[in-house]
Amino acid sequence: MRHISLSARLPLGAVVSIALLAACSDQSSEPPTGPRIQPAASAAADQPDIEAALQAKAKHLARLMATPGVTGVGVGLNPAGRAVVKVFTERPAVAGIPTDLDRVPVAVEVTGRAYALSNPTTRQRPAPVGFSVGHPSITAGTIGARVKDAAGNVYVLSNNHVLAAGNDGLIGDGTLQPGPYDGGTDPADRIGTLSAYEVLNLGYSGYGVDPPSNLMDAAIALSTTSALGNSTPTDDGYGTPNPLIYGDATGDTLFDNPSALLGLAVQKYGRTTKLTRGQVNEVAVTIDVCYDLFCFTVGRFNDQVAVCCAGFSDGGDSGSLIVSNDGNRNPVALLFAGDGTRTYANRIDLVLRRFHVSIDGSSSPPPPPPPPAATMHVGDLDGLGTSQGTTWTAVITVLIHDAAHAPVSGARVTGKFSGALKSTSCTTGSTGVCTVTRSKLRTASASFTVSGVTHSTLTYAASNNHDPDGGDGKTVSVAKP
Amino acid sequence: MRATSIEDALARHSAEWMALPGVVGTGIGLHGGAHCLVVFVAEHSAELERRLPRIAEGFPVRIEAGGRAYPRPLEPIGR
Repeated sequence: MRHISLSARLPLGAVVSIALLAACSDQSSEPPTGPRIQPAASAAADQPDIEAALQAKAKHLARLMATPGVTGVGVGLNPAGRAVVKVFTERPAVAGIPTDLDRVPVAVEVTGRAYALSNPTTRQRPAPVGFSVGHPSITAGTIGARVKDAAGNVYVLSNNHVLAAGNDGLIGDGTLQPGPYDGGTDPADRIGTLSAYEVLNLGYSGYGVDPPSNLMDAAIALSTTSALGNSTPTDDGYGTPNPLIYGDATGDTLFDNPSALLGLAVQKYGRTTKLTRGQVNEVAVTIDVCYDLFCFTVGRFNDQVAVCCAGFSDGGDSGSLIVSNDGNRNPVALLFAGDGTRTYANRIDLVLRRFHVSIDGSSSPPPPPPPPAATMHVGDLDGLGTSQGTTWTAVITVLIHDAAHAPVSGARVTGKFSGALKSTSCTTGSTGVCTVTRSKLRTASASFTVSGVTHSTLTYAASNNHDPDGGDGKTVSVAKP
Repeated sequence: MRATSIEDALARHSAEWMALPGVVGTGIGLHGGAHCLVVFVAEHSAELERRLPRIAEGFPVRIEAGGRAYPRPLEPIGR
């Protein structure tokens, strides 16, 4: 048995190149900052009416923006590939929008208003439950709950591999909110210090050798009520977890009957997938969890809870508290791992007992909603395939908009190609555009999914993503040329 | 009538099943509204289908294929 360091193995790859794409903004006519990339599905840049659309937009911009219900104006392409003036509205059937401007067609797109929804990757005090957190040497995980001991001290509850860097942490190490990947630095962003963790027992598995056994991947960090809240965000969270765990009528702080969890509807709020809902599909689970890329380092976790299905959690949600999906919000389990169909979580009764703490569900005021924040989103997402004989290269071009659909420079876009082990990033230039590439492909197609966008002043609002080609602005597929 | 609880049945068979190559977990689930034993496998294979029972001590055995499990910090280990 050995104690394994996780922090050195977290992959953060990036390939960056810059290009320009004509898209739904007049800024697209600026000189390119790199090789010009043509959208795969259109010939936008070759359309002779682009200039006319840009002129029409510039001429009528002020009047359009003054129209009640209009939230933005841009230039894009209609499904036929013709340049149009795009008018973004907060609701359907906004009156006063012409069908054409100087003989350029007008396309209305209902995008809603860019509200400042909670962004759990940001810094907030007191930090809400479900927000980004981490040891200085990791990427980021999630604040599971505020817990308290008999003396009234309050703690962050999360995983060992989040707060204690997978056994690497020392008692007293900083707990950063947000986690380092989300910009948290030590000591400026400390909300606490590592107080205790259950040692992860990890080891080799195979050829008849069983991996070492564990019951939990859990840790706590000493904090304060001014630094740490006890509720999920007020706008899109589930509220405050109940101090009483699920199914403990006897009050002995253990589940009366763990098998009674089967079929229970549950929910969680996490750093990456935010509020999601699922169902307990299995209990008394023994599961081998890989703690390195090649699964040489494994921990066997006994008496776990398995939640269905895919999408309930993803990377960055580690440490989230799973509670019942009803008005009671009783704690059920501490999320720590997952595979293609399940999320695995430690029994919360055993976790709380291990640290001699309880969920702090006292009725302190919920954290205030986040201050109004300027937002950004993907305004266009295009792909192009170029052949190199037996292999080919996928080139993805991303345009980042602000809330008024103007290009944003200096935005760092992160995403992953299908089949890739690591994420890829690029940073937008003055046109709001950047590109990522994946070469030596032999597959019939490739796709790229945007996982996040960061900026020094703007907050990523993925729900506002749009794509003039009809996509969702989150994923684009490219066929082999 | 079964002579044992499903928890006891799982306890008796879990180690044996976990020792099979490709088996990554075991547990208790539901099958048609009733309790069943669950075996998690990295991927389905004819060999595992052959070696795992359909019923153990009167309880149905359900096989679930979901790949390998990894922790879930950001940029998950192993992806």
